[in-house]
Amino acid sequence: MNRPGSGRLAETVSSAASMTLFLIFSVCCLIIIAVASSAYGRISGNYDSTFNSAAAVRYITNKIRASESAEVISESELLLTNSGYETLIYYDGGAVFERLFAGADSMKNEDSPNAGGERMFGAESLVIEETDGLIKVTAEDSGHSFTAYCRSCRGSNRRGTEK
Amino acid sequence: MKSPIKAVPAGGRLNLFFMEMIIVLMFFSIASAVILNAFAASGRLSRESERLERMSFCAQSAAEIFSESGSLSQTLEELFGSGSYEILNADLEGGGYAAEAKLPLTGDCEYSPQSPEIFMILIETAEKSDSGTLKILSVKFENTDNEELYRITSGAYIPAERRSDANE
Repeated sequence: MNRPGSGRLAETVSSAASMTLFLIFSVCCLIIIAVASSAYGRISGNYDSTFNSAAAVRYITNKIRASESAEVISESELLLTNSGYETLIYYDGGAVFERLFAGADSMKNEDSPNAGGERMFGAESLVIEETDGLIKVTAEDSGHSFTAYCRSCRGSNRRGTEK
Repeated sequence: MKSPIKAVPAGGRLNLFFMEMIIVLMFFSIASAVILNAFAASGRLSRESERLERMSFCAQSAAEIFSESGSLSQTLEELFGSGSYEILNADLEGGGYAAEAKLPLTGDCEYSPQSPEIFMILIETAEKSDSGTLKILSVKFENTDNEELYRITSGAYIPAERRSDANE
């Protein structure tokens, strides 16, 4: 036999349990959305920074391979020479830029050659070094750094020194 | 004493909202398990992709340096700095030779003999003839289970005149 008022108590407890379940559901939803959004942001950011630095290095090394000669002007400036035109690749203000100059030696006649180029890739740093007939290109973006070596010009060969 | 908490209230009808919430939570937990799995797989694929990218950069750099220098030891020195890399040499029948080096690397392709995650295997073979020497470098990456991850082959040809010039 039920005591008087126990039915009402059971109803209250049942409602409270239902509301608690609903609360748990909402909290779980929020946690999952937060976790998923953070994971997506991390994966997307990782992909972007990897793409930026890897693509910059690949682009520059392919340009070097395609050019007739390459000259490292400074750590962040590279001049590629082809018949009839020159290409200056430089780093400025968090991005890699490229500027074309028509005609031979036209870049040297410019007052400010490393300005007004076309923005190619975003990067935190770009370092270009020349060692023993090889050009070393390193680009970094958001902690992702890629390095590639490339022969300094087409047909470059220093194997003749081998004994 | 009987508990006043009952799944079936005194009226005999099941609390529909309560049941609905239980079913919703069940579906939600299944869906969230699937979604979290998908995100974990996506994160793993992203890391794998970056690692493969690094391997390809490392292998291509090795190929470029080798095609310029024609020497395995010089290639290793340029790539990973001067260190004690063990290079196994063997003479081949017919005037050629072979050399092999196996380097323990981290996932970021840095030389790490203490905690290797991948191995970079470089095999150099040389065939000597009257007209010159053809050197072939095969760069291979393997994981710790000896499963091949990436491979590239490059060559360097040294004409006989140059070789004799250099010897002089």
